[in-house]
Amino acid sequence: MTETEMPHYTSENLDFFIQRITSDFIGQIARRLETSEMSQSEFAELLKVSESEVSQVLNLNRVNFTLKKLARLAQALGMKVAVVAYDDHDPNNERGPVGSEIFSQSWESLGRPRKVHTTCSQNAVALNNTLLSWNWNWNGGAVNTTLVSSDRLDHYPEIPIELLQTTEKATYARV
Amino acid sequence: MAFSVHSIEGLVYEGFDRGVVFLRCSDNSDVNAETVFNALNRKDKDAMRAKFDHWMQGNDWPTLWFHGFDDAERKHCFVFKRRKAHIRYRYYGFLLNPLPKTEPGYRLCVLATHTQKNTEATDPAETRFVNALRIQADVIAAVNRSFIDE
Repeated sequence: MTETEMPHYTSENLDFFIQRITSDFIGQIARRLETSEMSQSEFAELLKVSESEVSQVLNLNRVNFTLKKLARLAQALGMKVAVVAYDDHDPNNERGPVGSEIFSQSWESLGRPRKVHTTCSQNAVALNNTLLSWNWNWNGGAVNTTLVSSDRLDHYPEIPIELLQTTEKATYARV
Repeated sequence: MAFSVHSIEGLVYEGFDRGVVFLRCSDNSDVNAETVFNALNRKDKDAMRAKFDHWMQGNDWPTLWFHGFDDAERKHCFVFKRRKAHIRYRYYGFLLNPLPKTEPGYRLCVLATHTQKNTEATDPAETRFVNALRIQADVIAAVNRSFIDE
């Protein structure tokens, strides 16, 4: 484009960013539902909510959720959730978040590893570390967070903390 | 007619091989996608921007949010969807590559019209209209002014 580019709309504040990554996650859920044999009404029944509520969620009319609620959405479709921290060298979020499907696909293309040292290339290890890490230090550095749903991210082994490559207070979320 | 194409405020285009823009026409009120989008409240605007972003990142799903059309007549048409309070809204546009020499794989979605969808099937008049815009010389010229292929 010849027009001057402005920063991504989610750079304005953290709420916009969180709504955006939640939307991304809902995109994964909506896709999974589309490719499953489950109808929206069956999905609603599983979640014990109304079909109208499911429609609101899938159409992004509701984007404020707890992590527990997100995990429940994924679980109802046989999937799991990872909370991922990554450094894309964009500390002010001028380019917006990296899509959760990119992380999910990358993990799948690595053979869905279950531990950080199952892969041999440095890049693969780095990706594993990223997938398994959760950095709370939002304001402290160039760290973004995204939510990834996956149908195979189950019971991680105990990860040696020194293998996690993110900066501080790194841990991993198991939902 | 005076056509121009405009990026969507708040989206970042660099680094992607897909883009979504609005077509603007000063003397045809049927080309209304941008006007309707700009009138949305912040929450609804962000929900649409999330869908635009999602497609630009390479996703072809969920079809609940956007999709193309398989049949030959509409194969260059594209739609982004919105549903609120049981009312279905549609942004119709067309796909093209304005950068065939420098980025052969690039796909641009030029959104032109917005409508409320009242029937299950897409109104053929909507896709016919955007398909006609796609091959209109002054529309092509407008795209080429914004996407310089050299």
